[in-house]
Amino acid sequence: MKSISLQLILIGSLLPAAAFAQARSGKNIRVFTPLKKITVGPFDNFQASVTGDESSLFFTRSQNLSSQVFKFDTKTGLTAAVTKPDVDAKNAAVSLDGSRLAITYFGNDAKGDVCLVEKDSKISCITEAGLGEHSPFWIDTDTIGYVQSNDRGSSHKLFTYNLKTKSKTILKEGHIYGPSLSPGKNTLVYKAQGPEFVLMDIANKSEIKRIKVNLPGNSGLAKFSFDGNYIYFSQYMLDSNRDLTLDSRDASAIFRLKINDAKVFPEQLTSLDQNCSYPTPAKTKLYLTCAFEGALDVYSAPLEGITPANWSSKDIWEAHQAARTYSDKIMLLNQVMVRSKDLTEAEFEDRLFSNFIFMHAWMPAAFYAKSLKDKSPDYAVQLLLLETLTKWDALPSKENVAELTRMLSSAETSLKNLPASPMRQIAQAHIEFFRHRDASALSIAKDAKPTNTMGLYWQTKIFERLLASKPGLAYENVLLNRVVSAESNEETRVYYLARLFELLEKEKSRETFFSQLESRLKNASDADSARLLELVQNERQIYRVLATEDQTAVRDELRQVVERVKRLKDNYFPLRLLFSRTIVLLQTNNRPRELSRVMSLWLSYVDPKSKEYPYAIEALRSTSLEAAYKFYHGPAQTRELAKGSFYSNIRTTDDLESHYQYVLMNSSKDAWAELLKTYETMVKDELIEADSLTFVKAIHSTINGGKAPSKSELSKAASEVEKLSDNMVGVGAKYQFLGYLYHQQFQATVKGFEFDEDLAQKAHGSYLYAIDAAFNNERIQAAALQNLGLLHMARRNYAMAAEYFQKRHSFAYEDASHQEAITWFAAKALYQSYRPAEAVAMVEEALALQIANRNAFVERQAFYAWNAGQYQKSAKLYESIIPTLGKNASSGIHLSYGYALMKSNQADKAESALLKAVDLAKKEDKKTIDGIHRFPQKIEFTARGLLARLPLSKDKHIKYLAARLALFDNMVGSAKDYYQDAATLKSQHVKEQFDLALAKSDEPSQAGQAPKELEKALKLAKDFGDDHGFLNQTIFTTLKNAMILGRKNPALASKSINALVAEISKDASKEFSDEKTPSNQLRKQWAELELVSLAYRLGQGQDFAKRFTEESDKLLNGPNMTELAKDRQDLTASLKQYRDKMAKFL
Amino acid sequence: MKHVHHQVKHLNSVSIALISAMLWGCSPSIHLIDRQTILEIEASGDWQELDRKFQDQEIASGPLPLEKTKTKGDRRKVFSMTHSDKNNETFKQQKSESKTPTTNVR
Repeated sequence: MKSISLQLILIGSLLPAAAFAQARSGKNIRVFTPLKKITVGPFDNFQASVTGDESSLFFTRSQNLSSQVFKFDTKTGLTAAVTKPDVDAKNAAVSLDGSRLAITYFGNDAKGDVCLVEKDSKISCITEAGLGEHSPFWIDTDTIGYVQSNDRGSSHKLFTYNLKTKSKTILKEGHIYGPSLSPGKNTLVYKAQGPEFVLMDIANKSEIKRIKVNLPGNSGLAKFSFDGNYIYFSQYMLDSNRDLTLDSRDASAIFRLKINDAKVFPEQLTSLDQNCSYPTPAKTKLYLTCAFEGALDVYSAPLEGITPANWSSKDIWEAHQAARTYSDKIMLLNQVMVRSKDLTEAEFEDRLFSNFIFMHAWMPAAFYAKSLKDKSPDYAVQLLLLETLTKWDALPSKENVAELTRMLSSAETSLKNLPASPMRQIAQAHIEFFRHRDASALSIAKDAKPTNTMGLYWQTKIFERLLASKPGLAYENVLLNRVVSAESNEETRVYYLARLFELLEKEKSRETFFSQLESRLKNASDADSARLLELVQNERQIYRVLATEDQTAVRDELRQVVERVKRLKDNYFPLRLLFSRTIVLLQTNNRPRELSRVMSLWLSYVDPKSKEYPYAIEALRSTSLEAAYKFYHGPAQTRELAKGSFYSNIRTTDDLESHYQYVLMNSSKDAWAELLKTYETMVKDELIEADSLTFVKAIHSTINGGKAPSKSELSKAASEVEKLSDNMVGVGAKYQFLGYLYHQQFQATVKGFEFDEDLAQKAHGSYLYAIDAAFNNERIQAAALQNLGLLHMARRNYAMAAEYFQKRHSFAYEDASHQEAITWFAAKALYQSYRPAEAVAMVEEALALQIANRNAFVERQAFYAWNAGQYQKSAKLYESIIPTLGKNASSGIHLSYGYALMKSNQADKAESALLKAVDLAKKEDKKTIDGIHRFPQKIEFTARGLLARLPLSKDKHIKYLAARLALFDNMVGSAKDYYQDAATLKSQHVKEQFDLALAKSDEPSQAGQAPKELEKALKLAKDFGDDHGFLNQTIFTTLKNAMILGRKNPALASKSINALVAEISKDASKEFSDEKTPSNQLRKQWAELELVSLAYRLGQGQDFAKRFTEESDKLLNGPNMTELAKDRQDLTASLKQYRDKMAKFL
Repeated sequence: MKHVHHQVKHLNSVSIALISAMLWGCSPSIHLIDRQTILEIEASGDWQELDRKFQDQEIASGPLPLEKTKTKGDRRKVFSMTHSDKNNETFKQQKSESKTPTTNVR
């Protein structure tokens, strides 16, 4: 217990005892019920359809510009493709009993058909090509409903189709979008053209009623709840893509409507921040598609949404007060209206109006301004201002373009028609500013005397636009006036004070400014000002703490903070700002000790049952962790402090990340028994959840005293970790560890090219869950991303591995050794995915660090460089590295060196490098790397090929070519073993043998051997033709070249050679005549060959050109050419040109 | 489920490779190896040991102990202050309102 006691002493001195006295339940660590991620990327997954028992979920996956239907098995957690990737498919609709699946399929008709997916992905369509059919839904197991649309999408027909009788019936015609049937009932809902849903009785084909949706923006398609009482839909409310239209490309929230309520009020189930759409309510859960960091995935949530069903009105108001975002506030206000009706409709709309303004969502704010405009002229003014702002923000350039001028003139005119008021003046100031009349805008804004806080807000906004970027503290003074103004409510004044504190962080004359602010607040008589004064004094105090390292002085200052907190403890907003500012300042100025103390102080003042508590816990967890990691990386003596910080975090927040690090830091065999005892006591004292102990035991089982865990240990640990609750603090660490457990099991199954794909999928999924759960936690995100990179490297999915490694590379590393390792793999993945230039850059980043394996990196740099076409650089790098590699400079490295030299025109150096490669290859043995054999014979063969291509003397050329040719028989015989294509090798053999004949005929001392070499080439060509056919480039080129050569050099037109040429020509001719429908290209190649044969037959002579032209005319007007001319006159024209050149030059 | 790896991208005549192995007397499994893989094995150094060492070193079982992160504390949602949404009442009305509830403070 010694080490733990020491940590308690170290940390305990900084913390008030109250911080340790918290007993938590996993249920109160989050304000809202979290969404549970189901599908995982990196591709977009959306539009879920679920079986009645929720055991299977079908969804659309969009990848590489195509869409495919996939199935997720909720029992095994595995995903499998249902449709094939070569044809687009979407809109999966599974029957309630899960026995049948209908989709919209694009295989037979680009406009879409409704089809069934049967066994082995077999598709059978119930509609025919022509018009577009889509949006299938099940009426019963034998009956499908779907929509047929005309080509313009302006008219739709709703059909039912009986699978047994194969008959279809039309139910309705008109604007029908996304029909959904109430399970087991006859009521259907669909979206009509306007903002309304239509309920219809399908039994008697009659409309039941229309439900108007009174919400800003556009509604998505509706789905009936399992019990048929609600319809769920998404509402696109924020113009996130700034196209001035609220549609399905914008941010949305999920709503539901109780269809039998006399007055329909849409209930908001998710926050706009979560950007969720496509709701599918099932029996026990709601399935929905949400966007996280740009990627779409299917999630599940309770049917009543993320606001817990058991919350009272008091709970909702409390959550509203504690909310940190306006989108949360908007959702909670809606919940107030649904559950308690504490607000009148006008009050509700007014609050939504202002919240949308605060989040700069002008379009939905304008919707509410329109609704409220008859209540006060201020709304009409603001409506005008909001409409102007919407267009102003969307304009790409704020230059005085004609459109902008027109828009502003029209706004100004409309504004003048409204009654004069301070709000109208403020709006006028905004328009003046948009017209680049800053002086006038400022003067109008200054004259205005707003009568309510919304007016004050807009006035502050225009001052911000006009003054914030100006030197001096003009805008800060505006904020100061807001803070001291006793007319606003406390929350508003605290808000302006927070803004002011942020602006003053980098201000040199901060102290003078604070003095002024203090004196103004001291002179005020209201109670709010007294509390705001406390906040200013606190801010100054923290700056004093930051300015000293003297522990006595720090303690004195912090003691005063404690006293201030006591005084403010009943004032929610001032207290929240006090802690926020204190923590932010200490954190950004790297003061972990003081930070720990303030964090714990905060926690000790927050009721664990309150809605503020989850925010405090999250803040404590994240800031304490950062402090712990700072100690972790500090000098050796602070390592104990790091342990202490993790331990303290465990006791206060029960955070899984802290558990993980704490166990790792106490991983010695001796420490475990004591650690276990401590954990058991913490569980008994209800300081931590029992699940945390399970997690710790699972981690310990894999540490195993440094011994690699066995497959059964990994598997057992994985099944234990799978069971842990997702409500735990720091649940990202759970999924990271789980991914690791599957990853290690997967790794053990990799044998050459085979591996367990299910384990790979489980590891992949867990890492993506970890990333999702660890929003803003770079330590988990970095860990998950690098593991994903490694996982996909092992699966040889290099493009995906490269993406993950690159994302990983955007975060920090623990130290250079880890950066070295990750960049090693990242570069390899980039090279493997045909991005060699990026691979070079990645390696060079590592080489700029102090790394241990410099030689390996330089060798890789040289290799990737020539792959990227950087030959000179590569050659230089090889030159520098080969001597230092010693015995590790294998034949392959010399081969690459020789190639880089050859490509950078250094033939002599290339020759010696390639000869060295040949020499080494002869001495090396075959070996196996990553399941692939490396044959030195093949390296020798390649090196000899390059030698023969070097621009050296004729003698050397002939020598190297002959040496290379000597290896062909062996290469062709073992082509498969050498990962070569036998046909390609044989073709190459023919070509190189011919080259040898040509080279020898050019060299007087060896010209005598040329006919023999040519004969060899023709024999090889004949063999090639026998094996692979005669109508191909190899045969055509060989014949043409042999004849042209023979024509010029009679020695190369010996009897035996002519006999071989004739034999091959005959074989080719027979094959051509057997071709029933020769391709145009073949006809052209054949004609070329015939022209050469003709020239060969005619031989030399003075009138060759004339004779050749006459004879060849017959050929060019023959049946072969007539057929070709029908399709490709360009080819016949090019043949004539070819003939004319032959006549001229042969 | 045993998975047989298929890689079919960027194949060319230089590198098309077929390895056949009889599995339990059934049909052979065929793997298509791409050009880059073969080239790397034949024309560069052999760093298998380094690969293994780096692989073992970098499979992370938990959060990485990073000292520096890019997330700025002051940007965190948890520390943000929001404007009151009780806005359209006149200043006078607001002054007569009771203070914010303090139910969440012990």
